[in-house]
Amino acid sequence: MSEAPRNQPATRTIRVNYMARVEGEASLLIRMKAGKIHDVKLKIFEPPRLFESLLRGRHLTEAPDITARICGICPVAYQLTCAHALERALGITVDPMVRLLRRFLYAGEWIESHALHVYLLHAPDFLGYPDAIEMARKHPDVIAEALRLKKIGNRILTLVGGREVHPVSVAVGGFYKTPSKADLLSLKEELKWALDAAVRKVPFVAAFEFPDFEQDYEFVALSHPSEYPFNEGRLISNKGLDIEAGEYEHYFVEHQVKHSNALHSRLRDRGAYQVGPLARFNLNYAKLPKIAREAAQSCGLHIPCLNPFKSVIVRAVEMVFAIDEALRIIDLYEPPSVPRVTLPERPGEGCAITEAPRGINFNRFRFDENGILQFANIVPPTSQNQQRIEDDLRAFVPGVVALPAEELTLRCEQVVRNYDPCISCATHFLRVNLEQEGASEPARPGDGAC
Amino acid sequence: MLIIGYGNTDRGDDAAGILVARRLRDLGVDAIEHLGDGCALLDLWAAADGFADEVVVIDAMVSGKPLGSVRVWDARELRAAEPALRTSTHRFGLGQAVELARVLGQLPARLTIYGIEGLRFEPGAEPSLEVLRAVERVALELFRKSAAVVSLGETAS
Repeated sequence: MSEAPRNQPATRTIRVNYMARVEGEASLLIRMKAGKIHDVKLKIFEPPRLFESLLRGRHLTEAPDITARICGICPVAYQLTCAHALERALGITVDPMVRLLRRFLYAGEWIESHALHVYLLHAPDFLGYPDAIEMARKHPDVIAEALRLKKIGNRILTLVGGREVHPVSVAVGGFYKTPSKADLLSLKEELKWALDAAVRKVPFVAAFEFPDFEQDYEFVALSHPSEYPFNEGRLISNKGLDIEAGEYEHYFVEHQVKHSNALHSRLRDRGAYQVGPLARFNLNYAKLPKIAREAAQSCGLHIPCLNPFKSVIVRAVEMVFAIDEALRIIDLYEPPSVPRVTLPERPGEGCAITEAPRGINFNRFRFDENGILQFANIVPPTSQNQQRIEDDLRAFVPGVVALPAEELTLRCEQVVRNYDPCISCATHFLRVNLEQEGASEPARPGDGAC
Repeated sequence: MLIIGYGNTDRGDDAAGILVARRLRDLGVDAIEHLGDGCALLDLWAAADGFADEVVVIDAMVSGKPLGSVRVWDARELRAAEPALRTSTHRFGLGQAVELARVLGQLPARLTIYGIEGLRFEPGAEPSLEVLRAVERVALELFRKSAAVVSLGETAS
């Protein structure tokens, strides 16, 4: 790590008033004194969205459609976590083909979300472009293929979920409507193209220049005995955590910070942790299909990967997995004999965790004998990573503080984008500008998020 | 002619494009409603390739002109950062979709953008009366254009 040059002012402030190429509204503030970090604040100023309160008093069957509205990019994560929690509370088990179809739906969401983030939002950072449009002038084939990959993910959501944004087919107990085998087969040829394209793209991403930056992370992800995790498993970490979803609130605690409208989540007595692609990859590498492991190995990506900037490669590898999984499911799928289980009438309480593209999403719900929701707790991935993002900035900035102001600001934005934060989920823009004491630069307009 | 109404019916005057599409359907003209995602516009334009000689997109705008004013752009003249069309909460909006399509060589042969000046974009707000009047004017103009296209097609056949 380089030291602050002598001609730097004693106090520097990096202020990103409108963070570009993230989903949601937030700003970033970093204050330095004598070359050392004095203060780091990821300020999420998007107003609180109050979904938990909105759910109280509604019938449990309405909940998956309401929670889907939390996010336009990862609605499936919210729908399915919600449905799983309520089904556990009701003591019902869905038809195996329903489970498989839900996994197919989740694969679609990972494909569209990762394609968007890797190629349209994050790649411009590494290649030195202000946005995807400028990148497209030099790399038109990459952007055109990324859009095609995103589209196949959206087609899965439309087919299974009824529409590509905020799908409507997921029900507590199954699906309101299920597709035929022929419907799924209609996507097979395009998914075969997508698998080939996703594999070809991994070396392109792996060839980016990555800052030399590693941290001693506690990675937290779901772990299933035989599957790379989407929708169920125990919650584990590389530092000994191994719990059921129902124990989550004993180990994790949310707290409010003055500078953000989103709650920060911490591991009780341990602090910040990391969820998302890097955590899943490091904890579940052996469960990736061979084609995804080979794609990782071929570009020198090994476990443990402790460099958060390389999460972009992991996302490209996970896209290979998600497409391969979708193709596997198409071959196995038959329309479920019981598309939707009849729900018992009884009070209940239940929890679930699933893996949104950005990391784990925890839900707990309680309802009365009439099925009316009395309590809801939703902990989205961005809340879980917020403290970790601030800690990464605290560790990263001293090593690059000698960079010119504009480049330093871009590097700080890049650190935030390593986590693909979905700020709308956590409570939409991340604002950024850089100022030094006595010499401030104007705020740059943001651009980019979808 | 493929007509796409673009916007959000839950954000006051941002409903303008969607309302034009709905009014055209009332008049018996096919029109698509498109909510939000700018990238998906490229898919709609690509799907129109070979089927529609002209694509028309109607969106709300904020240009400083009087409320309910209507402006028409030829997409070849539209800039990605056209400030009047930055009404979407999605930062990749219509202007960016046009520019990306241009860079990728995916612009329709003829793409016309109708902008309807709005003022109120709060969640849950009703569209302004001036915008509703403009919606009717634009819908009737597109109805006549569409009828002329059909008429020309029948003459040709």
